[in-house]
Amino acid sequence: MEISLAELASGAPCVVLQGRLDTPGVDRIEASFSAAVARAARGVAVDLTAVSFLSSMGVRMIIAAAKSQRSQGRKLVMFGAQPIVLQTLKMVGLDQIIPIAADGDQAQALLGA
Amino acid sequence: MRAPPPSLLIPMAADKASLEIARLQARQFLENNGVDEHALAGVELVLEEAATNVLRYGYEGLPQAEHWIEIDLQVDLDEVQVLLVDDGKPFDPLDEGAVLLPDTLDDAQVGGLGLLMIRNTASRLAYERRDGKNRLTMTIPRV
Repeated sequence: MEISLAELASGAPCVVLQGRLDTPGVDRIEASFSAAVARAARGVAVDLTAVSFLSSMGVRMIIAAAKSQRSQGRKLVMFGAQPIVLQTLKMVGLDQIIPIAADGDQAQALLGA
Repeated sequence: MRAPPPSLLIPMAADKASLEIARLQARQFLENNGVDEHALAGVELVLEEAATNVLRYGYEGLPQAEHWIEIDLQVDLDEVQVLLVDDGKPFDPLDEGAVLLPDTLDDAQVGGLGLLMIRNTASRLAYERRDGKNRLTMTIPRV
């Protein structure tokens, strides 16, 4: 599991995740992920394009980050989820409570950036 | 006489590192037996959720001891059977109440998600407690 930082075309911060978001994956990147999200002063996008698998540990990590953003009046938006990952997000109803965009441009629009 | 369905027994020490090794063994076995990526992801999901539950909660309050988990996979024509056997506390996931989907981010709970994923991924679940062990069978369709 890898994590890197990028920017959307608008300059809005984007956290890029790559690999399996399961227990070992979350153990590896959770601290960096929380820190990267906390540094995003005006909302953050999470790029899931290269995430091949999502378990409940990954969902927990995303919920915690979205809640911490919300508590400071900021947004967290996900985009690029592959079908298997999207299916898991929908299975637990995450698509109803955290915006999921198809791509970076849509994520940018949802962030209002 | 028809050949028995391919099966693989994976015994593992009850810790996270062993679970990752077991997952890779399971993946290799399922790939070798023609299980497609969608069903394989289903097997990996229920395995991760059920085994992680055992590792996190199954041994709470029990005396310190070496614990073992067994994963038994069987590839049938139209489904994969995943049997997880553990020597943790009795826990029947079929006996738990329904997990409700949250309406808002504020309502979102971080507990119970694994069980929700298992219920939504497996086409059948069966549980029994036998010889001091939990035996959870999760059936994943191959379509």
